[in-house]
This record gives sequence, C-alpha cells and structure tokens, in this order.
Amino acid sequence: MTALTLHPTSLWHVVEHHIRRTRRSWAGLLLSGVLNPIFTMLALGVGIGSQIDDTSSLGTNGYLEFVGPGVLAGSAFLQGGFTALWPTMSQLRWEGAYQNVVRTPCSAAEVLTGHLLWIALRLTFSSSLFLVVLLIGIGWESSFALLVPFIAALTAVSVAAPICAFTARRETDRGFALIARMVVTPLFVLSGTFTNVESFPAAVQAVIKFFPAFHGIELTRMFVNGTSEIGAALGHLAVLAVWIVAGWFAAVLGFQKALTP
Amino acid sequence: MDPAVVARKLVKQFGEFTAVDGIDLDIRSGETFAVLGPNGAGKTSTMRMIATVSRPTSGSLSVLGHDASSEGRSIRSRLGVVPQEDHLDVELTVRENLLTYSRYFGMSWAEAKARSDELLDFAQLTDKADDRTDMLSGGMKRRLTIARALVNTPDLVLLDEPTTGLDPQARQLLWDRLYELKERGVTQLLTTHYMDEAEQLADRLVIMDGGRIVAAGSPEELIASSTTREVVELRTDDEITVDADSGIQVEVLRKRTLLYADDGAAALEHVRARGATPSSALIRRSTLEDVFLALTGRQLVD
Repeated sequence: MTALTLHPTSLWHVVEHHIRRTRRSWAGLLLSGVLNPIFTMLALGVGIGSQIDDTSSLGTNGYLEFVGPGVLAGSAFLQGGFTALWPTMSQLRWEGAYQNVVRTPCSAAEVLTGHLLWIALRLTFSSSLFLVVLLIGIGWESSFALLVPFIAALTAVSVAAPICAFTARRETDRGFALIARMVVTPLFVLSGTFTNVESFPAAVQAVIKFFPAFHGIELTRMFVNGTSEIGAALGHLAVLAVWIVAGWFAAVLGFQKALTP
Repeated sequence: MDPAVVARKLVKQFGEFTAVDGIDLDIRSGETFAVLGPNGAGKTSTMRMIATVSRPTSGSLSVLGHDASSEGRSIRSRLGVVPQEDHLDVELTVRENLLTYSRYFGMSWAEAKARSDELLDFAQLTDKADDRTDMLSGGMKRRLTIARALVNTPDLVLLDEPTTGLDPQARQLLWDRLYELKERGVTQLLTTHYMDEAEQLADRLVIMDGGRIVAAGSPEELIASSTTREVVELRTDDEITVDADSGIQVEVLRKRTLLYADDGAAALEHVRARGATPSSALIRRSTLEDVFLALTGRQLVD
C-alpha cells in the first residue's frame, strides 16, 4: 500500500466534483434518496400502523415510532450499498472519471476517501430531510435525534466501504445484482427495519447482528425515541466503526489496484 | 536545466507478463519525444509509470527531477496527461470539465475560470463551452482532453496516441496545437502509431518492441541508419531479381514488391532492364514507417 497520506484539500475536491455533477441530477437523487423512503415510512407507519393496536413488543409507543427510524437508517444502508456498486464502477471504469483524477495530485486513497465522504454527505443531507418529516409525525423526544443524520451517514458508509472494496476488484458488473438482491436488500428488510429481530431464530439473529445495518437502525431508533443506553449505543457505534475502518482499508487497496496498478 | 525524464533499467511486470523490460530513457526539457511501437510493445505501460499512476517493478525513474516512486504527488502537480481514452465527465459541460479538473490542482475558482476560458479558446471550443461533452465530435473531445491536460500549465505533457481515430482535419488542428506548445517550451512525450505524426512532431524518438527499445535517435537518423534513402513500390506478379552487387534490397509482399535503394529511379531501371514489367511503380523517400516495419516486422499484432 502506498501514499496513505490524505490531504484534506484533495478529499474536498473529490466531494466538490460530485456536488457539481449532482447539480444536474439532484431531482432524481431527491426522489430516490428522500421522497421514496418518506413515502415508504408513511405507508407503513401510518397505513399499516393504524391496523396495529399493541406495539409493546416493539418497545415503542406506536408503529410509526418503530418503523420510521428503521426506514430512515435502513434506506441509508440501502443507498450506501447500491452507490458502492454500479455508480462506483462507472466512476472507476465505465465513465472512468476517477482514472483522470489520479493523474492530478490526488491519490487513489484520496479518491476513495473522498468518494465515501460524498456518500456520507449526501446521506447526512437526505436523512436530515427525512428526520424533519419523521419528527413532525411522532414529535420531539430527545436531543440525540440531532445525531441521527450522522448515524445514517455512518450506516451508509459502513456498507459502502466494503462493497467499494469488492467493486474495485471487478472488471465488470458481474455479481453486482447478486450482491444487491442477496445481501444488501435482505439486510435492509431483515435488520429490524420493519419488525423486531428478537422474534427471529437465534442463528438468524446472529447473522443479522454481524452486519452493520442492524446496529445503524438500532442506534437511530434509540436516538429518535429517546431510549438511548450509553453502553448499547457505544456497542452499536463500535460495530459500525469496525465495518467502516476494515472496509476503508480493503477499499483503499482495491482503488489503488484499479487506478494505480 | 534538469532533464524531464530519466529512466534506468525500468521494468514493469504484471504477474508473469513483462510489459516493459529494462529500458533506459533520457528526455530533455523542451523537446518533443516520441515512443513508437506495435500494440503490446510497452508504450502505454511506460507512459503510465512516467505519469506515476503505475509503480515500476524495478529500475529507477526520475520525472522533472523527482523520484517517481516516492514523489508522485509533486510530479503529477507539474504534469499534463492526455490518455488514450478521453474519459470526459459526461455529467458536466465542456467548461465544467476544465473547471473541475483545475480544482484538483489547487487552483482557486477565479483562477480556474480564467484558465478554463483561456484553454477553451486554445482548443477552439469557446462556442461549445456550455454543451455537455457527449454532444461533441471525436475531434472536439480530443481537443478538450488536451485542454484539460494543460489546466495546470504543465512542464511535461504526456500524450498517449493523441490523434488515433481522428479525421485528417482534426489531426492537423491538433498538430497545430502541439506545435504551439512546443514553441512555448513545453516538453512533450507522445506515443503514436502514425509514423508521419512522429516525423512531423518529434525531435527524437525510440521504437519499442516486446517491452524493449529496439532503436533510438532523431527521425532522420533512424531513417539513415535503418533503411535506404528511397523505396520503390512495384505492383507486379513478376519475380524480381537484382544483381548481387547492385545494393538494392528486395522485399516481396503479397501483391507488391518493395525495392530499397538510395536511388529509386536507378533501381527501377535496373529491374526493368532485367525483364520486370510492373503495372505501376512509385518511387518515394523512406519514412519512419519503413524503419518501424524493418525493426518490428510486418506481423499483425492485435
């Protein structure tokens, strides 16, 4: 591994590049990143939620209080995972914008880190909008809610980093659909987004708790509903951090191999 | 003045495959230096190492006075690269491509804007400034790629097959831009398949084959040392014979026969006198293409 010095200006230039690119596609991003999850949350939380009388087994006052934070963090996970597949491949190989960036002073490690920061920034922004709608629906319970957009960003990066490591090692998008359908989407659905994972068999719970989605969702739910326990919160954060750090290292190696062999 | 590039025993391997096999290079500041070679000769691998986007397997490489293995960032800040693939950002306009790229070199927005306007003018793309790049013709895209390589006012510009796939007008326009750069004292290193391009643009060149340098010198030196002054191209089915002491070399191709001689007219008379009746005969001066084919062979490399 070479050139692991990260210059903040180079990281910013990668983020800035994406901001400029987004000026033409912001409507699509707003639809997929904000409106879709909000509609999903409202349909489930308000629609299906109205049919559920007793949510005591979920640990929340109502179903919207349960599913809202779940969809918020779960969507961040989903978007992080998907962005790390085709859009990342496009930048690395198909459009090849990143092939050019490494011909500037910016290194492959900086390109990857800037790429992940852009995903984090985007998810911080879209989750903030989502949070406003959610808090209008369920009311303000805790100041920790202000941290939720950052937790969503961490959740997105915790899946994006390892998948970027996978994407960077591929010549084509073969296997991407499998990752999307068999890993990312099932984890979004099963990691406590819509229902309490405690109702699953122990083995299934163990698998779910190994991956970061569950921990991002649990943290978000705690912070939104004001049920934070410091020990549990730190534990969830630690799992996210391990996925981010390990994924980042693997992705740096992958980006170096892909961009500066 | 420091030499622009100094390479010693430079090697690049990909697994078992050796792309560049122990080459030495000395490129002087201000000159235009060409690397010629068939596909797979190691040209692009050499360029990528000089651009510090590919790490040499062994050997030493100094670019603009910096070590390529440890000072890539400093080198890249003074380098302009025109890769084989344009890789323009299709989400951005022509001007935005230049602006965004400028920013990676640490330029302020005001500097980036001024420089982009200047380069749009240089590349004759001012009237296309607000178009998306996928609306541009091949020649325009190539000019934009060259303009993009100049945003940081580089001391060394690397051009990897800059005119491949362009029509003759677009090539001529690009050559004009490259001459202009040369007049400004910018060192240029280019790879090309086009022998006329190398003859037109390069002060010195090397021919690579199989990862090694097989010839080096100015275009005139290489033509003088590797082939005769003139070539006669004959269309004929006759078997061409020449006197052993005539100094004429004969190369029989499928439908053509080539005579290599310092005096083409005399060589033509010589073979006619020995009974050859070609349906057509063209006497021309030797070109780098003859040197290239003599040194790297006529076998097609995909």
